[in-house]
Amino acid sequence: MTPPEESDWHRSADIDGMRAAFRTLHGQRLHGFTILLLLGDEARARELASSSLAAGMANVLALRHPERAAAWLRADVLRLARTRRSRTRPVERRGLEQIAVSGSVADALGALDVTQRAALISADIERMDLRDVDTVVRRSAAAGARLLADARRRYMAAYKGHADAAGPLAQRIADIAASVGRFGAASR
Amino acid sequence: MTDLHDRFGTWLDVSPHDDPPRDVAVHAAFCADCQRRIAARDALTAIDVGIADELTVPSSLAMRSRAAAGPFHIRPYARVLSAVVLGVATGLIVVRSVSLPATSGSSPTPTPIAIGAVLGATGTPLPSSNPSIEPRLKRMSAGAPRSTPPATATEVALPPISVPLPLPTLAPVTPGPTPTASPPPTASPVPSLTPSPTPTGTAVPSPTDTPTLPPTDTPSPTPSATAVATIYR
Repeated sequence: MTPPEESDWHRSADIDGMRAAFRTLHGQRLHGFTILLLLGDEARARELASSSLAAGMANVLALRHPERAAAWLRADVLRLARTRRSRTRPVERRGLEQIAVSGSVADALGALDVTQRAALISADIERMDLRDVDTVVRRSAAAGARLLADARRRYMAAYKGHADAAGPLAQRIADIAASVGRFGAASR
Repeated sequence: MTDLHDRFGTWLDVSPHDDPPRDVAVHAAFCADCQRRIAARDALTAIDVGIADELTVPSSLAMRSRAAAGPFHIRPYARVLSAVVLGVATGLIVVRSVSLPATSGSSPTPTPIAIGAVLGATGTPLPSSNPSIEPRLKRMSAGAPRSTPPATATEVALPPISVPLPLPTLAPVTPGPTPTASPPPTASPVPSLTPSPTPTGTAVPSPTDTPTLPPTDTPSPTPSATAVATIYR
């Protein structure tokens, strides 16, 4: 039987290891999410993401499930983004270059409010489960689904880029249309 | 046509991860506005937030997270605090329990009794409030010998139905010899149990001898002879 001081020491060493792993697992993606959420305001994104990551590391024992932890972290970033005001004037968008976001996407995302943006990024870029998206925006399932649909609609309406036939969805639509054409030709 | 356009828009807003209906897909493949929406979605899904720079947690934030973690750093203080709270609560309960009889006013003269005196049963009983018991108590204390320890108020209140009888019957019981007589019966069963092993000791050797004796050899020829005789008969 180990004395309590020693077991505490071992446990705290374990906790430190878990915190380091937590930072490695979530830090980079959380930073990218925050940059996109704040439309490239890199300094503020770093500040908010670091703060949320520190809070997550403090609760590392309760945030063992990676997806739940990711949703929790993004919800915390969203909360901070709502409450803390930006100190950088004017907002610099240099951060968007880090994650290779085009200007037309940034402009379209700028047409959304911060909650809609969080829902859209979580669902369509990070491919989170809808329950986790609801956690991020702190809405019920129905309200979260409505919010996400509104965000998608506004984003599509605001997008001014050109059509690109090489995109995955464009390819999928073209394949389905082609299969219908072949089926029609074969039936004739 | 507009219906297909709206249906494609609804599909894109609600469930873009699934495949669209075929007629809607055929429409979208040739509609310029739908193609623009498709491009918007493709541009969105092409973003990879995982290529952002590594995030470093400043030491001040790390310290804050460490302090917020709690269990390992707050635990010693929590132990001391809980011990203090427990001690204060126990003290309050004890003080209140001691001060309650003095404030109740049931006894005419409140006697300050120390806790140790109560627990050690060294205090004298208070005068009872029932006046009919008082003369009986005086009679009992005058007639009965004081061989037994002074009775408490509750013990005295029961016997007055047959006043002098219990005390003489108790007196013979107190001498020592009669209790000492009771142990011998407990000793007598012990000898009755001890003889039982001795017969078993005698019985054990007799069965063990019989298998080892040569009689086991003698019967073996006789059965074989009888068997041969029965076979050839």
